[in-house]
Amino acid sequence: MHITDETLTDAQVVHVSGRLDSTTSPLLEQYLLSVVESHPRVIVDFTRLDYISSAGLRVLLMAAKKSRARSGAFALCALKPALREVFEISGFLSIIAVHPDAESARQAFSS
Amino acid sequence: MNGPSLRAKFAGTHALLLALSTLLITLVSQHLVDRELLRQSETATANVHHLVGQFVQAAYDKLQDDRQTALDTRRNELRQLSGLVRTTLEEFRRQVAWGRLTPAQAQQAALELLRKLRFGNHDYFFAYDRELTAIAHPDPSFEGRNLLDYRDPDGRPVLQDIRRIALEEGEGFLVYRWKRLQDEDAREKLGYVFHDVAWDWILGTGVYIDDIEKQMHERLAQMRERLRVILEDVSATSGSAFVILDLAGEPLIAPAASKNALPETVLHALAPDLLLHLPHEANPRPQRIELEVAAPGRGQERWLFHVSRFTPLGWVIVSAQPLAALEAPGDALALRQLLTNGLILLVGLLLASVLVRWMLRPFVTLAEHARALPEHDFVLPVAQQDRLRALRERYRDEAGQLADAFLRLEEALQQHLDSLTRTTAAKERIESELRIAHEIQMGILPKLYPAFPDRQEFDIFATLTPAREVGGDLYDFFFIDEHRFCFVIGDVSGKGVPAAFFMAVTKTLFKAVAEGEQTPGQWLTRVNRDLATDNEACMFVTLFCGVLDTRDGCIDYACAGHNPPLIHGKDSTLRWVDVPHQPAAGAMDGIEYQTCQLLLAQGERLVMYTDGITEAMNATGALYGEARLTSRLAHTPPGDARALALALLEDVHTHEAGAEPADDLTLMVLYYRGPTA
Repeated sequence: MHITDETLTDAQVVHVSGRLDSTTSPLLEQYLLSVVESHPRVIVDFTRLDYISSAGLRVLLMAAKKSRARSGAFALCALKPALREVFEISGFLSIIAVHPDAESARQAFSS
Repeated sequence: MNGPSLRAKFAGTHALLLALSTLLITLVSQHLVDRELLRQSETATANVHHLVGQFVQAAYDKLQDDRQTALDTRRNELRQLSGLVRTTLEEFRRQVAWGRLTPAQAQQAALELLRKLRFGNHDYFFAYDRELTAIAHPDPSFEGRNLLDYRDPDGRPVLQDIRRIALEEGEGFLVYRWKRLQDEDAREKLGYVFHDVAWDWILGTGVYIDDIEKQMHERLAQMRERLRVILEDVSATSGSAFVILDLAGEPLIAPAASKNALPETVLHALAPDLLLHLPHEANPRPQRIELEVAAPGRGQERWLFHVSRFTPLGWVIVSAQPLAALEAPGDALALRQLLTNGLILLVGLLLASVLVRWMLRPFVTLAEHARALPEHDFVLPVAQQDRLRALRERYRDEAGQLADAFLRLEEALQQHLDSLTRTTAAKERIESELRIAHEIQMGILPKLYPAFPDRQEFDIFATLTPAREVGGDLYDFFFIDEHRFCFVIGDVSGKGVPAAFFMAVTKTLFKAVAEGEQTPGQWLTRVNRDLATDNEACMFVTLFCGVLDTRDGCIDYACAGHNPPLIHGKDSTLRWVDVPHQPAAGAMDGIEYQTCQLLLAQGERLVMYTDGITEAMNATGALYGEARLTSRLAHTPPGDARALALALLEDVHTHEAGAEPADDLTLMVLYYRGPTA
């Protein structure tokens, strides 16, 4: 797994690539929670993410909840079809906002 | 381990290097000595040639001088005696002038005197008139004879020459050959002639000079003898044999045979070759020639020759020496050097060996120590560390450093072993605790099959394999009343101990809730509410639960983020159970879960599983996948729940092919046989 982030004018975008499983998710947990703490608007870009396990879902859930507690905005974008299915089955689509790309996520934040 | 010791390697390398350098030095010095000796020998030879030349020149000059002196003495003698004769003739003419004698009487008396005049060794005077008729001669047979056409044995018109000198020059000397009075042979004679103008007489006298020439030849022979002795000496001391040849190649002076001399026959055979290289007359330096020589008793050899010439006598000076003799000192030196250096090398090696043994002593101790180390139990203090400490104190060099390194290594090793022992103990404790936890976790799952042997309407079979000792998957089933049979399958986010705790909580909670509420949706709503409260870690669990009415196969079910089960028909047809996409339990508070319904026909099976099944991976990372799951199910004949579950599980294990399981595997099959009659 590889994590980079990118600062836009009105949002922080975190790019996650590779596999997000029980081995790698603690890294993302630490990273993402600190990003959520310091940025009101966070978009996690999964363009290059290949796999997510339930441990990864838990990290996203934590970040989303933390953001919500701080009245921030948190969204995911650019999920591959297989990943989207995981989100769909696990019902996370109804908990965490998911957008086709970062731009539409930003627009959703603004509206 | 049994290779050459360090000491042997040191000694070997040392010996090799020394031997190589010795050989090199020997060869180089042999070459240098050879070259230097050759150079010196050539210089010496050239010097000898020069000296011999000088000697011959000096002797020759002396001979010439002495000859000249002897001739000059005779000339003066002749001139003085002739002066006496002139005076005597004047005296006779004075007598004529005084009238005491007539001119004829005076001439007669003078001629008579001349005839009788003798000096030296029967030497005499003679007189001729202008026509070269002898008028006074000691040999009476000459008198009155005209000798105008007389020639000496060399064909010289001696008397014409005498007349020419006397008349044209007044007086003069000449050399000719004349028969001695008592002898038969004509011999070399120095003559003095003069013209007596008054009486127009040609007068002369002479001395034989053949004795001078004879003396010259004698002295030349002496010189050659002396030269022979000198050359013998030179040949004996210089290593070169000297010989003097004439220009035809015949030996003139050949010293007695010395050890290096060439036999005369060999020399004779070589003479044309040597003369071919004779330097030009003007060149004083000897010419150097190398020739193959077949000396008798010595075989084919290369000899070095020098030839120079002494022009005035037509002599050729030849020196000869075998090249082998020149190289002999270099070879001898090389041999001596090799022997000496070999001895030094041997002594040096012995000393070096002793020295190296002495220097390697601490390393031997260290090696012994190191050899003993594997046998040592590091839990106890290492034996003989005192020896190492002593080495460390005593040696400040690599040996001391090595001893120090050993001590540090042993110390570190001991510490690591201590820590490892402690860690192992802790790990063992944890493992043993996990084993117990595993047993407890497995203990809370129903696992006696057939689970309800007295119920003919249905059969259920479930299996759970945690990826680690304990896992986050769960299943459960129980009757809530006579006809209603409740079942649940779930998967906690994450793995290991945290997931196991959450699983235990979920299972307990679910059972409590299911026995109080009415519908599966309501059960999940309650479970979710309880799990989401104070869930700081945001753990969640996907759940699929249902309740089967054993009388008609009707199932009420609800789903919290779990993957949809499959219905396996009697004729192996498959269909997915339609599940609402609602969040996993514990993720979000306040979710109302829906209750759905399906009808299980007789002989149909409901296959429930966790994503550990579809996401089971082999070593190359390929997932088991839904496609393979459905395909495998489609090829499974109808039968009881247990056979289906185990066949599926075996196929998953086949796919994994021994790879480390990534997630817990849980499979639950509900088989509806139909209502009891």
